Amino acid sequence: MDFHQEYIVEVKQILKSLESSLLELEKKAHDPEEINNVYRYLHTIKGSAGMFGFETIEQLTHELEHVFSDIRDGDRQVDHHIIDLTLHAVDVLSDLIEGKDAKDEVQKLLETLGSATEEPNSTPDAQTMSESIEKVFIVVFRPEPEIFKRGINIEAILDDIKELGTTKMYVHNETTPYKKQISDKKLESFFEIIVQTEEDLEEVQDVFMFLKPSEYIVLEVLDLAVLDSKEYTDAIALNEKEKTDRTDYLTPLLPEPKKEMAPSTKKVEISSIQDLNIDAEKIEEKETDTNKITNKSKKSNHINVSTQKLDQLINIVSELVIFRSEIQHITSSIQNPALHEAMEKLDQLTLRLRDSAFHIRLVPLNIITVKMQRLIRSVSRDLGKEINFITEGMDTELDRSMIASLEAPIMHMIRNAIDHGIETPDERKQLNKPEKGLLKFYSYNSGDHVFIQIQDDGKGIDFDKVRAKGIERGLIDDKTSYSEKELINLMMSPGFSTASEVTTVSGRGVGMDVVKRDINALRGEVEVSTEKGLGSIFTLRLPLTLTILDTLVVQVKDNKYLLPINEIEYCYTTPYNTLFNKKSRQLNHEGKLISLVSLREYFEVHEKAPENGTVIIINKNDTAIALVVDKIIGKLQTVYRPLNEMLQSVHCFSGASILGDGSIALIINALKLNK
Amino acid sequence: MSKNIVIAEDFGVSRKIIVSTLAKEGYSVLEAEDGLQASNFFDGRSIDLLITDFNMPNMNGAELIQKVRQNSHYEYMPILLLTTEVREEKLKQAMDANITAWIKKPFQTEAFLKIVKKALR
Amino acid sequence: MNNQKPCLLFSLCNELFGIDVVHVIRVINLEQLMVIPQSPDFISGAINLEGNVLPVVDLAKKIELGSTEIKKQTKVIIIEIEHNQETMTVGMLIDEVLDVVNFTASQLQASPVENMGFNSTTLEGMFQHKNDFYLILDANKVFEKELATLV
Repeated sequence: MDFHQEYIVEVKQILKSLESSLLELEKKAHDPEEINNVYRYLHTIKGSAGMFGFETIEQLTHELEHVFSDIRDGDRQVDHHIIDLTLHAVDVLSDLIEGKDAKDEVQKLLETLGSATEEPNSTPDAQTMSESIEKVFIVVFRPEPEIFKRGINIEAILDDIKELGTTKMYVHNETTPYKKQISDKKLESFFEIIVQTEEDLEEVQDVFMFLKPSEYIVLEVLDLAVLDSKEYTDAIALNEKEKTDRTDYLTPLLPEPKKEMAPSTKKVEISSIQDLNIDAEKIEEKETDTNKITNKSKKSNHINVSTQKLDQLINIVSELVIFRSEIQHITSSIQNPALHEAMEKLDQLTLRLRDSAFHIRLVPLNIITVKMQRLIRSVSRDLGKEINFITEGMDTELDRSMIASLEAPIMHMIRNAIDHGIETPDERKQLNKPEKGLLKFYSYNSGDHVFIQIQDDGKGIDFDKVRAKGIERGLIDDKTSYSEKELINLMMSPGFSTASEVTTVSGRGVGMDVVKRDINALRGEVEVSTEKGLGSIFTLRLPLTLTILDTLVVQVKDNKYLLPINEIEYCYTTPYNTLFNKKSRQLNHEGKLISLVSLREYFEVHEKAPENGTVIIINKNDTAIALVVDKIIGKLQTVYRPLNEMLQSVHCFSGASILGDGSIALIINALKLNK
Repeated sequence: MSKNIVIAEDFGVSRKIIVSTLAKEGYSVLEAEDGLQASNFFDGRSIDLLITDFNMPNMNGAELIQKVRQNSHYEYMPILLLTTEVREEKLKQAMDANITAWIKKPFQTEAFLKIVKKALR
Repeated sequence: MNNQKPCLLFSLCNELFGIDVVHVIRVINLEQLMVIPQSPDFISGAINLEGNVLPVVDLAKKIELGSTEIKKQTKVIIIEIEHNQETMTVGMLIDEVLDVVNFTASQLQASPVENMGFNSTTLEGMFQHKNDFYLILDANKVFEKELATLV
């Protein structure tokens, strides 16, 4: 990648952060942190745009930067108008960076902005910006003497503090060197540490996760008054000389004193009830919070890897996994315990390597949060509805390619929920519901699957309407009574909603059938539960990755085929001729007739079938089908390979895999065999 | 060298989830269904961390911890206590048994692993 | 040197063909062809190419020249075709690789449109090399229908 392209990638990332900061700012208009972030992002884009000859970008960001420097200095207020304008500018900027022509839009924006910034204001000062990111903390760490008996590693904690940034440590009561005290497990000393770091208070506190509140204190130093604060003097008694020393050390680290008196310390909040309560969820929250505030704090721990390199790694690992089964195949007949032991080790390592490699591909769902927020914002505005949008579990991770394919269906379901689910504020008032409709996006991990729920507290699905519409479309008849489940299935079948009918919002002529198709294509499932008047829950169940599949290997004539194990309900062997002695290709399975498909017949194998066949009952999306194969070879965990574009018209296979001996086995898409 | 972790948890599903979570991270895990079984692992071999449930049959978490700490091999070993218990006096009891930290159930795997990694340092 | 185009010459069903080497990734021997039931008629099957499943097309069938009889010497040309920023990779069965030659656009003669005994709309033109005429295929035209369905 050349510098130019690198620049484009980077700016796109900054634009995303900018967008999410703007949306945050809309919620909390006076949040100085977000204002600062917005300003900083604009500044960064502007700074580099000139270098790469993006003059229009430079011009536009320059004007925007002006607006936000005024806001930062308190000369302007954040309002919807500014947010709208800047969000629009973000769109224009991303067009520009992609080389699209957006001159007219830029001109319009510049004019609007020009009138907004008639008084030229102070020029931005890059220095104060960067300084404001680094914070100073003072830590007093006084472990109880018996700390070692709790299995806590003091040195590791001290190392963790040092890793936060620049530190200065004072050891008190050091009669013997503290390292010796530690190795002797007899601690008399205690520690005072001044930390300069880009991390937030929470991160610093995290270091002391295992310690009792009585054992440490973390204070953020905003000015020298901290040295006289009660928290500090209670924790440590300094003599005059020591105090002067601290003052001298701290003074150059602090920003110029501001005119207004800032509070000298931020009180460190420690939940008092539990000494060592590590509330797992809280930690999670903290992490996302810090992510939100500044992505800079995490930067040092991440590297950007091009997706190409990543895919290459995955491919190599996949090949290794295949090669592993090949070796296993070869060595299985050799009687040598040492070899088998070594093989087992190789096995474990390969699987671990595979798991960690696949783990790299996983990205948290929150990369689409901003998109959802924007969508909700614009849709609810268009429809005059008010939405309280709540997300939970956005750090749930999914395969990168999967998130990309999930975006469209998720956006569609959100649009649907606002359009068809949630009522207008007036309607809601009459129904005694809060005026703001609740839209909840919830995601969690369970085993090999990820669940995503989109929940609204709106009207719920009106089954009478669904039935009536189904009859009108000729999809069902008016005599039969249908269960709610059947009606939901109907709702998600092609041809139920038509383009002419869907409103512009849910619109684009896409219905739930497409959502269902998209999710099924990811080997996932859609489930709907709804209560009239109370709302609906749409649940998506998705595999964690698209690439690893547990399968059953079956044989038909000389070829091997794979069936995903999670779809298999039951197998048994029976003479071939008893299966096909009737003309109707049906099988009585647990009191229900299900269709019976002979793979020999389906694949047009004209040779005589063996005496016995194996029946495999497949159950997928509540549809059962029985397949007849020659025999079952065994179970195989395998790497999924998509079928080439040329083969996508072959619906009876969902993909393929390479077996241990290098041959190809096709993965059967059982439900498509029926047609 | 992979780290050795003993997990004592009577509820099979929870134990399996924890074991697989840890195994995926490359730790080698010894499983025990109760405190007594777990205590048998502490026979002088190298163990880097004990994760134990509080309420278990045969020998509960507090008793297990007490027993393990008596062995000089494991005097300074980190111990994580899993519990749904929120009553303070019960927790005090656990604290007196010298544990490194306690983890409230249910927990999220990410946060759990973070604590485990920290305890193993 | 104006617009010199290297071209891979090969034989198929006793006819002589050529294809622009920009499309050609490599030529391999045909091994372990997996037949794919229910696939379009012109697809002979699929092969394992470095862990990827690659469809192999019976080129003779595709251009309505007949069908390829699979022999020990049968080769597969792996080609890559770009279309709307998407790349499609596919193997084509051929009988024998003959040569790689350079020619310029001006050396290319128009093909007689009718009565070539196959679908001659897939041709870019004809090229005379030594005493033989080679039919130069246009890969994009050969897979026109398939490319059109690429999303």
